[in-house]
Amino acid sequence: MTVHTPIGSQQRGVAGWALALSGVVVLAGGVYFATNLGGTNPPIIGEPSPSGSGGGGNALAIITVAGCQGCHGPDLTGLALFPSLRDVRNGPVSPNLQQLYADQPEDWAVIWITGTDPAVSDPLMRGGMPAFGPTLSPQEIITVVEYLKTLE
Amino acid sequence: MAVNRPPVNPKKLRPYDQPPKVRRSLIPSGPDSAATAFVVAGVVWLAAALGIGALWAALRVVPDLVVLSLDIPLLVVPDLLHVELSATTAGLGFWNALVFGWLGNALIGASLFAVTRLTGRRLHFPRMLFLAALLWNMGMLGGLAAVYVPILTAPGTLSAFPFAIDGALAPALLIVTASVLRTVLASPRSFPYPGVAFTLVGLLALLAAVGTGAAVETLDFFIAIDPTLRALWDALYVRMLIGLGFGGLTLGTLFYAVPRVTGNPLWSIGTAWLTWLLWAAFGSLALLGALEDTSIPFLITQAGNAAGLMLLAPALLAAANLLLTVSGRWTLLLSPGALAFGVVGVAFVAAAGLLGAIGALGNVHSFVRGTAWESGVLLWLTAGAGGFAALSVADHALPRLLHRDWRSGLLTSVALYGIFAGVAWAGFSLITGGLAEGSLRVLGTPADEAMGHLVWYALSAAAGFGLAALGGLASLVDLFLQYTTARRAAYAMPPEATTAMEPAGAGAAN
Repeated sequence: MTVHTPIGSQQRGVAGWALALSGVVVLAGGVYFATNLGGTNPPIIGEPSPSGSGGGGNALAIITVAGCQGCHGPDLTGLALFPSLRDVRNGPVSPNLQQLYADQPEDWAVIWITGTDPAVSDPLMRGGMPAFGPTLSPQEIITVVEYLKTLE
Repeated sequence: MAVNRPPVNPKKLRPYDQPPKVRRSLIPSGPDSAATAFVVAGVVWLAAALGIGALWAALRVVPDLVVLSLDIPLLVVPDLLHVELSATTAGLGFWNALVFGWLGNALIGASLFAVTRLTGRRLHFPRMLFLAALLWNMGMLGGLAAVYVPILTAPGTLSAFPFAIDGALAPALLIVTASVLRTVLASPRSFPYPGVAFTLVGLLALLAAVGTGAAVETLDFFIAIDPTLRALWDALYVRMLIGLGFGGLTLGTLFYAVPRVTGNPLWSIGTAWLTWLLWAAFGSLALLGALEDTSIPFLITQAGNAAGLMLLAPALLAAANLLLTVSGRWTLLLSPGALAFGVVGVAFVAAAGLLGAIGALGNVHSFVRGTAWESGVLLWLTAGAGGFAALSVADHALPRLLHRDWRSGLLTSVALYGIFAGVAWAGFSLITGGLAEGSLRVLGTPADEAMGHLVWYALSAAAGFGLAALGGLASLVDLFLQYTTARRAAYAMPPEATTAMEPAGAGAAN
């Protein structure tokens, strides 16, 4: 045997299953691309720490670091049981927040996101929504709410 | 007829067992000298990288601990040179030693070994190639020292080397790429083997990444570049380096190692070419996914993310093609050796491809962004897929490069199982730790409380790294014993670059 024996091949053509597999994966990628065209990129630098105090920073960066998109979708239009955040300026859509909205029409969103007020801290009422009071500064929460109110 | 023989003086005869003195050149130019230098240096870097990795993993348990903080007064510069050993600097040392030291050396060495045997030609510019190996490793030593001096490091994990170091690595890559390209173009075969095509794209991507990286570093040193632009380049650089550069060298190496060590022909060359085509197209497009900033249109980033998802296709095709190639030789897997290393590498290619596709999905990406998940996937991709591909060719090539009769033994088993179990476990701990970190972030858990949960994942990863470091040490001892104790053996050599291809004489097949 020589030192440079070329490596041969058992089949010259492309296997049928290989073409089918490639087609399925490319189709999945295409569908993903076509259904996820809306949204904005987060900033690549200057992300404030969720546990940092003071300084509102960029709302998108706070939303990304706090992980809001994990439940409310990458473009905040809602995901499964979690509601859309794109209509916050018109009040809450969830029935359990209607009373809070009636009592605090201006600050209901800040109180809800902060989550430390006894009126909104019941786990059953929150339905999995974390309380961001311990991790975000009041200014950061206000920045996020102000940003959400601009979304349509 | 009588023959006139000159009288023989026995005292002037050279003893039969003493070889004639040969003047050796300072820079070796033997057919495999550069490949030998790269692969041997790679094994040394493997042990070093995994050792630093174990230290890094241990320091992650107590992230605020600074083990060493030293100020060195410089006579020429009034400022003090601050040297620091902490989780941050050890992390930089680990990733750079692993990627540039171990993978860079071993995969480049494996590529040189494979290309010369696949094209049937010795590589062009052998002396320059040996110099490239020296340059690469001297640059790496300087770079590894620099990462412990915070004032010298640039931002980013794999872009932390100062511009002078990138300036040493780039010419080394240029020499290697030029030599491989010239050798492939001079090959009598009109169409290269798919493994060579993977290697070529990988080398070109590495050269583009490191070369442009050196230019950006230099520019940033003299005229400060906009931080956002710099951060975007760093993200693009890492993706080009790992996805296209080392990804190409990994697949090229596996497409050589698996058929060669099994002695089987490749299962399907057409499927291999389809794999190459999909990988080159989607791998290039996936670079756009790294451009994640408010200044970049979301559409462009999403196109890159979709291509990242589609990279699953070439990963699965390569894994299936190579596993079908092993068909009929499965018993070879029962003993540790080149095939076992290669098959583990193939498994990591498939696993990393799957995790990469999952991580490219928008929801998952925003959930795990900035967590240990990213380190875990990178570990499986580099130390797993790339590392085992390199170990496979190293196990096959080292006896041939060092001219030693050496069979895999106990130390090979320790290296195989130690590194495999260690890397798999450490990667799994980092990935699950990243998922836990993402969950805690969504739940709004305070940082101190979150750290209490995550410390268990960090401890688990440290145990995995410790095991892998043991395997790395076994590889180094195995290499040392092979060189010092094994008896010499002759192996066939590729013909000179300028001579016609001819069958080699005695010796084992390569």
